[in-house]
This record gives sequence, C-alpha cells and structure tokens, in this order.
Amino acid sequence: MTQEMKGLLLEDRWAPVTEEMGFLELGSEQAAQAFATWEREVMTPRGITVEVLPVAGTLEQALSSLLPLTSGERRRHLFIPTRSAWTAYVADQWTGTDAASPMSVMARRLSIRCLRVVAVPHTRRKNQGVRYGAVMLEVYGPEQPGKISNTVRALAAANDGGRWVFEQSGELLPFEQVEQYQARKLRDRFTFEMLKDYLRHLGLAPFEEDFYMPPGSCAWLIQKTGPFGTTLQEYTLEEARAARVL
Amino acid sequence: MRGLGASQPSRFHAAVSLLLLAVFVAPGAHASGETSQMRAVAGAGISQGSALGSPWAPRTSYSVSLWGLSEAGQGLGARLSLLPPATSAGAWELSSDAVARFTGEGPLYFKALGGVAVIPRPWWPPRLRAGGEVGLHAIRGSIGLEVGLGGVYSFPPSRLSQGEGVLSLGVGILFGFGAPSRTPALAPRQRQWAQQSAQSPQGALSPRGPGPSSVAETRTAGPAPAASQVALTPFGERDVIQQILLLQTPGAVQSWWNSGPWEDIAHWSHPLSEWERKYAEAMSAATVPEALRMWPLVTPERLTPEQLKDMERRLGTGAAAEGYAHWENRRRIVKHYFMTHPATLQQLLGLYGLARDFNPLHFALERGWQMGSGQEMFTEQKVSQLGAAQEFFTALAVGVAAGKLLTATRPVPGWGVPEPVEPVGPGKVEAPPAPPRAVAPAPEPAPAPAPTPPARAVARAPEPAPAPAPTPPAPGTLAPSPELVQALSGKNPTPQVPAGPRLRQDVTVKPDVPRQLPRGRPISPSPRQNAQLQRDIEYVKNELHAENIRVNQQQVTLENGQRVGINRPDLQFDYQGQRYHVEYDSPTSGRGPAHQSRLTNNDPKAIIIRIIIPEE
Repeated sequence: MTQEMKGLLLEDRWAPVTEEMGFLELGSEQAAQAFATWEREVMTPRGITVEVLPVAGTLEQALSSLLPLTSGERRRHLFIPTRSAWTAYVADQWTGTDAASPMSVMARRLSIRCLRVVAVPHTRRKNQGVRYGAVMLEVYGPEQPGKISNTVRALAAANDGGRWVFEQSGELLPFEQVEQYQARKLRDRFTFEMLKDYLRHLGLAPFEEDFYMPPGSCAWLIQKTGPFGTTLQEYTLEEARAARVL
Repeated sequence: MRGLGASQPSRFHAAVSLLLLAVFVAPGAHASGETSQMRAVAGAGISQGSALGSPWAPRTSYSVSLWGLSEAGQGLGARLSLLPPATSAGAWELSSDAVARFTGEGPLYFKALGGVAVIPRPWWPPRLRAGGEVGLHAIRGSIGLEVGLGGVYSFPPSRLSQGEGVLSLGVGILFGFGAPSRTPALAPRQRQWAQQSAQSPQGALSPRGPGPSSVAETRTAGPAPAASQVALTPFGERDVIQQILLLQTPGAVQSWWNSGPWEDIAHWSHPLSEWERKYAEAMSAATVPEALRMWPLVTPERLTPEQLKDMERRLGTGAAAEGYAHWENRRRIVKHYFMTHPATLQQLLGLYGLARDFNPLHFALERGWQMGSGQEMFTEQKVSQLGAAQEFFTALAVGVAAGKLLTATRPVPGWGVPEPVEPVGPGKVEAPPAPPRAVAPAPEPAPAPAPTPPARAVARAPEPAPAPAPTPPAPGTLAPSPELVQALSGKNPTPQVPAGPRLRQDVTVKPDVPRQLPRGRPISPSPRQNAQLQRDIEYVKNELHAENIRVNQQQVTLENGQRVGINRPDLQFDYQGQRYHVEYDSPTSGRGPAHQSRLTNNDPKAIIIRIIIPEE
C-alpha cells in the first residue's frame, strides 16, 4: 500500500538521499565554502581534511558523486545550484540526508534563510516493513535576540512509527492554507500538494528535475578524508534502498 | 511482562477471562450460597506498583470504589483509580473498572477486575485493563480493612499483545458494613414471589402455628436468630420451611442458615418434615422451568465423594450418611429459595446494571444494542430504544464537556498540543540563568569514545572563523547542560549500567524508522526543561556537528539505523559515530534510573546521559 505522492524528484529513484533535502538562500559555491569553513572548525583539529570540489553534469550525475553511501560520520555533502536563489543540500548518509542540523546552523551562521524539506510516501510492503510517510517543512532564519532556537516555522504531518501526528510551531507564513490544519485526518493537514505550494511561494520547485543544475553551473562536493573514529561501511544506492523499504 | 511467566497467548487469554469474569460472571458469584444481605459499601485505597519486566520503579496510585457487598464482603463494585505522573514530564492516568469481590469465611479475598484506562492530557487512546487481586481482609463493625497483591494487564484494543503488566501492593479501607443498606436499589422486595407463586411453600402448604404474615413482619425487622437460639429450638420447629415462612426475605433466610444450621449440623440432620419434603418435591418437579428447578433430593447412597469427605470433616468418621443427607437437602432448599427469589434476582440485575454502566465500553456497547434491538443485551428485558439513545448521547455529551472543562481549567504551556511559539517565547522570557545543578553521581573514567573536548562551547569565545560564528552564551544566559558537556568531552557523570533484558513491547517494535520530527517539540510541562533542551540541541549541532537529532521520539540506533523501542528519550543524537540518549529529570523524579536501564537494554552501545533540572 503506498500513499499517493505523485511528482517526487526523479520519481523517488534517489531516495533515501532525496527524501529529505536542505535549501540555503545563497549561491551554491558560497554555501559550500561556508559549510566547509564550519566543518573545518571541528574536523581540522581531528586531522580530518575538508575539500570543496566542483561537480559538473546532470542532477543525477551530481548526486552520483555522493556514492557510495556510508555509515558512520558524514564524508560527503553536496551543494546543488538551482534556477532560483536557493541552493540544495544533500549528504551521503545511507539512511538518508539529515538536513535539519546543517540548515539550522547555516541559517544562524550566515544570517540567511534555510529550509528542511521532507516528502516521503507512506508505504507498507507485506513482509518487508514500513516506510513511514512524512511531509515536513522547516524554515530557519538568522539568530534572534532572546530566542534559543532559530526555527522560524515548522510544519509536519508524519507517521511517527505507527500513528500520524501533525505538528506546527513558529509564526505563520503569509501563504499558508491554515484552514487545512483543521482537517479531520492528521495526514491531510499538511499534504504533499500543500508543501509544493508553500515552496512555490518561497521560490522553489524542488521536485522538478530541471529546477537543478542550470546550464553552465556546477554542484559543489564537500569531501572529508582522514582518521574518522568509526568504521566506515559503504552501501550502493540499491542496498540503501532495499534496507529502507524502497 | 516476563514476570508473568507465560506465553503471550496464554497471558492474553487469562486477561480476557478475568475481564469476562468481572463483567458477566460475577453476578452469579454474588448469589452463591454464602452470600447474605447486601450493603452499599464505599472504599478507598492506595497502592504501589511497578511494571513487570522493567527495573523496579514503584508508582503510587489512589482509588475510590463503590460496592454492593454481603456481610462477608462478597459482591460487585466499581472502582475509579488515579495514577499521578511519575515525573513532571509524565501524564495522569485515570482508570475505571468493574470489580467482583469473592471471599469465603476466612480472611482471604480475591478480586477480578476489568475496565478502561485513559490518559486525558495529552489524550491517548483508551487501553483495556483486566486483572486480579488477592489479599487478606478483616471486617469489624462497619469498617473493613484489606491488604492485597494485584496484577493488571493493560493493552491497546488494537494491539492486544503489546500491553503492559503491572504488579502492585495496596491497602484499602471499606466503610458501610454492619446494618444492611437502606438504599432502595439494593433493598430486597417483600414477599411478592412467595405469595404469587403457585409453587411456593405458602401455596403448597398450610402454615402451622402463628400465621406467616404477623410473625414475618416482626421477625424480618430484627436480626436473624442466633445459633444458640436455633440449637434450643424444639425438634418440631427445626424446619427450614417454617423459618422461610417466618423470615421470608431471602437475605434473612440465608443469614439465618449461615449463622445456625450451617455449623450446627447435628441439630439439622433429622428427617425432613412434610413441608420440607413437599417443597423439595414440588420445586424439583419436571414441570418447574429449568432455570428455577431445584436439584433433586440427595439420598445417603447418592452422596458424592466430596460430600462424603465434607460429612467426615463435619461429623467425624463413621457418621450416619442419612443424617448428613437430610442436612444437605435442607441446605439445598435454603439455597434454592435464596437463588430463585425475585428479590435476589432484582438485586443481581441492579448490580449487573451498575457494573455494566460504570465501564464506558460496556455502557456504549449495551446502549448501542438496546437502540438497535429494543432489548437489554443479556437479560433480554424490553427497554425503550429512545431512552437508550438518550442515555448514550447524554453520557457522550457529559464526557466531551468534562474533557473540555479539564482542558480549559489547566492549560499547561508546552504540553499536549504543540505551542505555536518557540519553547522560550520571544520577548517574554529571557533565557533563564543556568541553574546550579545537582549533578548526579560521581564522575567515572571516560568511556569510549574520547571526543575532542568541546570546552570552548561552554566558557570560551569561539575561535576566529571566516564566516560569522555563533554567538557564545552571554553571561547570565542559558548555558549548555554541564552534564552534557562533560559527557561529550569523555567524562560522563552518569554511570553507565549493564544491559539487561528488554521489555516485550520494545522487542516486538517494528525496526523501521520514522522521520525525525521538528525539534521544537516539548518534553515536559516545565518551560525550564524545554528551554534547557533547546539550548543543548543548539550546542550539540552548532559546535559539535551532532547529527540525527531527535526530540521525544521513539528510540533509534546510530544513524537512524533501527527502531529499538517504543520508549521516547527526551533527546537523542549521533556524535562522532556514537549514539547518545539524554534524559531530563527533576530532582524529585525517581524515573531516571528506569529510563536509563531501558535505553541501555534496547541499545547497549548507546551512551546515556541523565540531566537533573531543578524545579521551578
């Protein structure tokens, strides 16, 4: 049984990498360099080298630079240019990108807006497990006096391990369909269509392939090498997908 | 759960059996031979219990109950229990149970119960409960005291196997023994059946001596005759039919039998009188409806082994079986009279209705049936469909109104419905100063791994960086938890515990991992705890590059690899290839060690950090 969620990026072929993505309201090279700077603060004392490498080609070619996916600490992060003022962010974690922390930190450090976007169809396959569905949007902003967190707005309708939850916090964005938040079914309070609409208002079309890698641009790969504390285990995209009920 | 020592299906069957026993069968027990006149009894109790299969972490619960009990303490009742939260982050649990209380002549009692438990805030789906209690009681005058050991299995209706067993030890006090209740609902009717039935003793026999009406009215108002009086009764008057005619009310007859002939078998082993024999013959005839028919008279040759054993116990070896058979036949007459008397049946129906309607599930089911069929579900009595609908919707409206009222009277910031603001609201709260912490247990040698000391995150300004750096906590603002900072620099002040057996509900959880929810979620009604949590999140993500941070979500392993429990650590994250779980507690909370053990049992590789936040 799969929840209807048509129009996912690359027909969901790159899940779990693209199930969750980050977006920074900044050029891709600038974003990558700023991220590398932040990484070096912690990695350099540990003897880990942080490089920023350009990656040309199509979106899928850029995503391929993350392979193989890995366990343990993150080795590779990718910043992908778009046809907008936003830069996309994904990483090489074999269980999927964790965009929340990097985007929150970048928004604070660079005093820009950053997003965490999650779109996962709820899928239940007999004898194979469950891929818990989720639609989320988090908007982070610059640090504000008197506030601990820099989360500006958070919206989520997700299956939290067997039951659906709907959560929201922060100040309403002007284009939100607030009447939908009263829907009887929790999962209907924030749908994939609503997410796309909200993102369109923010100037993004992140589920369309041609939104990424405009002609003449390149993506930027952050690659870390050195003595990581944990054992590295590598996964092909197929292996990672099989493990995540994909 | 493992403490029950049985497989899952058998445990479930036992739970269902107890539930059914409490709700349906108990009325029959109430009418057993040893039951005397009913009293309305109120009770209050307190108990301490702990979930089976997890480390001992007792929680105290309080209960009030209303009973219809015999003098011996047997009958039915309804109980309302309240379980306060274990920690400031917990929630109240309210449970409503139908309870059947069984007891013999000794000090032992047994209770079977079944009902529903709810957590009203935040609202959780109701859980069904079934269980039992065994203990000792003493009744003196109008007060009864009891102490017992109870076990209750509660489970979500849709996930029968994922319940939780709780074992508890409690004491209770009961008020209202002594004089029979004057409550109309429990008071037996007078004489109707004996006068109306064509097969009654009055219909079949002519009374001898004083007329039944005059004597009955004087005798039923007073106490039943004492055993010594019975023993002195002349032979011609040692006739249970005479006593029935004199006493009339089934409770009084039963009480008289219990206090006299039940023990004084020697004086009641003479041959049956004509009245007694005719009663038995008439009532055991095939023409009597089966439900009302009496067992046939027993003869010395037809005594069962159990009866022979009882005879030896009461009369000694070599006693005449004939005498015992006469006594046994009289006992049957009394029991039959008691059990089939309309007043007894009326009481049973009343108690059944009481128990039925105290249980919300049963109430709803019953009213639904009545609306559809126009009959009571089990007694098949005709009822008004409109009345049933009215009762159902009235109860529903009252329940909804009560819920709204509870919500309106005590809004708790940051709890239940997610707040549409930051955990520390803009402009209204300055980050509270770092509280002086009760840093729990003494430091121990650092476990692996030994991360880069993040000391600068606490006290020093960040190193110069090309990009704008995060502002360090200004003096007087909230700082990261010292326990967290210590732990992540390799000196965890929380001693780690060895892994033990996992709870069944954790073992059976699906390993698939749900997504990380937004991290502004509250973990407690305490704004201070929530603010500290948010500060700690900022610390681990900004300065340590921690990943896969979850707040108040079910436990998962490193890198969201696998879900390993339905418990919800306050904070969990990955740092340098290691999974950390953080629990925030108040100084008075006793749940920290239990939470830590459960986390370790589910993921022995994880490191647990316990943080004590002072009360506000």
